[in-house]
Amino acid sequence: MNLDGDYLLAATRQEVWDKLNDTEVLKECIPGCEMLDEISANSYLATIRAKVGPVNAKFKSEINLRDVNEPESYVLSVKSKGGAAGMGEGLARVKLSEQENSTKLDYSVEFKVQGKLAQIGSRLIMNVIKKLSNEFFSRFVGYFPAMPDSAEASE
Amino acid sequence: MKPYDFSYTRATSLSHLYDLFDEYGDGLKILAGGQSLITTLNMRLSSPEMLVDINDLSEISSISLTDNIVSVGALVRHAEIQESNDIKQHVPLLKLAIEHVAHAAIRNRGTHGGSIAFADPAAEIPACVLALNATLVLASREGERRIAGSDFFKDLYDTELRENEIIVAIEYPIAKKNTVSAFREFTRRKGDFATAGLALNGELDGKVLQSLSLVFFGVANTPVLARQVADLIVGEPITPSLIEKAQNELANEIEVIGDLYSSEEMKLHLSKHFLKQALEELQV
Repeated sequence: MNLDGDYLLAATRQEVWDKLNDTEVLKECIPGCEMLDEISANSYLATIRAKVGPVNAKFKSEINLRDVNEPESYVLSVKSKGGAAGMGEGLARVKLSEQENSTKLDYSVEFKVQGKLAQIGSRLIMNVIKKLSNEFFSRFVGYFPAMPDSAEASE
Repeated sequence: MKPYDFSYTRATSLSHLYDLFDEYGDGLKILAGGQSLITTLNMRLSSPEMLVDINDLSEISSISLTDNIVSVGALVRHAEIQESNDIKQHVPLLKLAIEHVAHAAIRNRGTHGGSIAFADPAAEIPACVLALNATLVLASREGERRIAGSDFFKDLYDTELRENEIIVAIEYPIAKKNTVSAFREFTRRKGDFATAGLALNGELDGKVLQSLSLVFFGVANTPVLARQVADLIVGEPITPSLIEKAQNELANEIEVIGDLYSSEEMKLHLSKHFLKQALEELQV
């Protein structure tokens, strides 16, 4: 399934890029992220606790950045294993473009889930991804000054 | 599958429950009817340290009627609501909705408070809480606080309920003489979670609605109150052209999220259809 959207950030493209590549920032922004370690260039290991309604499970995730085109775009792939709960795979394409006095961040996410999560969760996967994406970006936007016109996020 | 290991205690009073809140924090889960909780435990999707069974708390297990409210205890089973004359007479929307809640076996165990605390976006009772503007009574060691239904549901499975709190009662305003209600939902099989649904409550004088709440559920992360659509309809005679205008406004006002089986378009289509059906029903 797919989800996309965009955000306008009051910063230069380079500033946004730097934050997108800062493990401390990512760790703060990823909902439920308990640990994020860089294991090699563009490759990370993370522990993420997904806590949505009835589900409260810990996922071990492998995060890789590829097609890195500084300071414009990258593709972030995530593979998560949650033991008995199941597993998930996601791909997020992020693109930054310069605007007048701001930077536009476009993202599109593709994802699939397997196991128990998919079995009972298929009805709400889209809602969950949307909720987690909103949480991520609302925290990420907080690293930048407010946009003059109230930093409206369009989806 | 079998659940991960957990401990189990029966709460003997609310204050006993508060003690357990203090001891276990977010490792504690309240077991009421267990119709959603036990499934997720058995599937090992969550692993609480302590399950606290509240089924002995008779003080939150009954329906009572005062001058202008019907108070439903959190532990009242769906089946009791279905059989209750007070509900039938004074909270007609809830009576209509309860027939759609799952199957008889689940209604025998599932509780009113449990459904609201769980806050599934496709569930019938949270939608009624919103449509009827019920007041939720939340209790903790610090005492009770009352919160309007419209302020309770925050996001997917996310509510105003704090970790050390329990819903003890739900207070519904008593229906007036001119109160009208309608309830619609579409499910893939009878008793399944709703693909989309509508709970309507209002006051009708002649052919004109004096007040109206329209709540759509199964379409977003929480039940959604369509305020603008309701504003459009209130005070106007219900005509085919008004219904069409309302349907168009609905598409502007609510942001629908699709799922694997039903696209955004399908859910919106169903919502518009239910809006038309419900308004036409009121005209008769």
